[in-house]
Amino acid sequence: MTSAAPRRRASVGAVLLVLTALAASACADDRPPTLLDQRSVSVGVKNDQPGTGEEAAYKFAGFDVTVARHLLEEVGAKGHFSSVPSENRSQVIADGDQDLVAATFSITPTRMKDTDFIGPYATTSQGVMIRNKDAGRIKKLEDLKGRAVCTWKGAISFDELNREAYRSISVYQVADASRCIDDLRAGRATAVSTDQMILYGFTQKYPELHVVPGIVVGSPNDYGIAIAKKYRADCRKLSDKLRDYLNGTDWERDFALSLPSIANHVQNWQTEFKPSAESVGQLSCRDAPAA
Amino acid sequence: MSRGKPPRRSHSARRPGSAGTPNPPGQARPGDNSAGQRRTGAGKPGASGPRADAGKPGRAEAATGADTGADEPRPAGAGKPSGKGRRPAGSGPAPEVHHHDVRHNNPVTTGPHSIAANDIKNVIIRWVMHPSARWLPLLLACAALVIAQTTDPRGPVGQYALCLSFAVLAVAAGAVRVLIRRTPSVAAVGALSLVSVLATVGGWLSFQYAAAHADIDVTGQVQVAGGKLPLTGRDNTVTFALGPAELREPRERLRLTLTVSDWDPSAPACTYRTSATAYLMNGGAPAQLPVRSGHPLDFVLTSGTTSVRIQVTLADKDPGRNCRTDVRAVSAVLHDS
Repeated sequence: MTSAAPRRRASVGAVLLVLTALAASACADDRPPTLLDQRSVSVGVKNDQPGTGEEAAYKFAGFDVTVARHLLEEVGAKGHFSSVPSENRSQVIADGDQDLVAATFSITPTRMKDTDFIGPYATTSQGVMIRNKDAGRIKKLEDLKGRAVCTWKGAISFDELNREAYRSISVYQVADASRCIDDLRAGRATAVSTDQMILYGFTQKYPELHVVPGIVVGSPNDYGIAIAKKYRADCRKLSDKLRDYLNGTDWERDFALSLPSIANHVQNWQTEFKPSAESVGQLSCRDAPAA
Repeated sequence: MSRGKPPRRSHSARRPGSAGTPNPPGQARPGDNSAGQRRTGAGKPGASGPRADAGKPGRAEAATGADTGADEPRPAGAGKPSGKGRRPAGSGPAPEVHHHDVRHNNPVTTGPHSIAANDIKNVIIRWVMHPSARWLPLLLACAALVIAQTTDPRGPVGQYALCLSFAVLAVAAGAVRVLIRRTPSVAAVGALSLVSVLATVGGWLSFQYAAAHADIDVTGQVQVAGGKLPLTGRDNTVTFALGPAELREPRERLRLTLTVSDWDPSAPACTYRTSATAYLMNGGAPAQLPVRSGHPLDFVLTSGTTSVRIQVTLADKDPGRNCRTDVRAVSAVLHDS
């Protein structure tokens, strides 16, 4: 009889333990992972591209930064910006070093397999930039025949200009945009090729440079903000906010403020650089573009 | 005839057609029909020959006696009523008996049909129970299977599901029929043989139907007959074609699945800016269908056509974007409605 009480207590304890464990497992959080609960979301941006992503006095500015900041604010988060080189943009997302990358990052079917995109938030054709003094001589693609054209690592225009159709152009690649700009200003390169939006941004900093309006290379680029695929729910939230952004008038205001060189020199710049809200659904948070 | 159980017959004697032990002349055993004589009313009506209980007096026998005694003149040699069936005169009203039950398979009743039916039945039973007939259903099923295979049927296996089910049933029933060796009953053996043969016939017919209407996969045989890939803003048309070799078996429709994708997946996504339309140019009623990548298009073909040409035209929703697009026929299936 004396041993019955402790045994009963042990049984009750065991039952309570099991019930507690069951209750804890029932209350376990099975929600998908989110990065928007964090106080600060890390965003990788460019630091050497005036108009799109530039760092000055430890502050980042440019259209990429403006869009990322706006979308994060819309979902109640705050962006913490740091620079990321072009060639590392996919890697920092894959490694989890950055939560988002908003760095004139073109949406391609290959990249969509590994990374989700919130986009497009801007659309631009690829083109070339020359010195102002060459503006009279270089007006079309054929005028670049036999001349040195600089691109940098991670820029899609390097692959495009290496196609058979552009075989007569002498294309070379350097580590980053600033090297190409230096080469162009120093006369070592006749032209620099990348997205027109980026090139127009450089003309804001270097007025002696000039984007050739008549030269378009390849198909247009759609810029998206990269996010890891495991944050698909966050991706959808942010893409909804992007759709709202495109449907309103904020996009035009922010674009014109960041890239006045385009707003002042390109006719119908809204049509050319602003993507449709419909295209957000075709490219955002997907493993492949919608057909 | 005695009322009791007839003497047990040897195993061989139970089988029709088997030699068995010959009876001495004039000593025919109950139920034995080896002498070629028509059975009398003795024994269970209709159970001539092979039944192990042949000669065993049954209810029908009693009814026969009552019936024939009450209503119809009993033919000579039609068998005396055996013990149970015999009723003394004036012992009360005769038990109610259905004429149909009594006359069925009774060889002594008047009219030619019952006798003919009985003869046919006997013949069938002899065939079914013949030792050499054991293998026939299985052989028939196997032969049908082999012949069906040698015709090299086209189309997915799923379309031959019914045929395969019949084949399995036919072979299984035929195999069981072969494996049954110990005291088979006519009913069981007959049922197995019948099931096997009917399943073979059903399987063959369903195979013929499936082979005539099966989907024909011609995916790898769709040729690019015009245009050049990748499609661009200038070269925006490609033509897919099927020739006489692919269309040798007539079908009513062509189900074509096209994928539209970026030519270079490492280049910026562009194809979402385009729309494609497929036109049936030749081989059927002219049709114009919007292409959704990966979704099948169904074209109605002209009966007996030997050539099908489908043109796919790409349009830029946003002209001047220099998209380079790949269009491929990932599936092409000829089918009937």
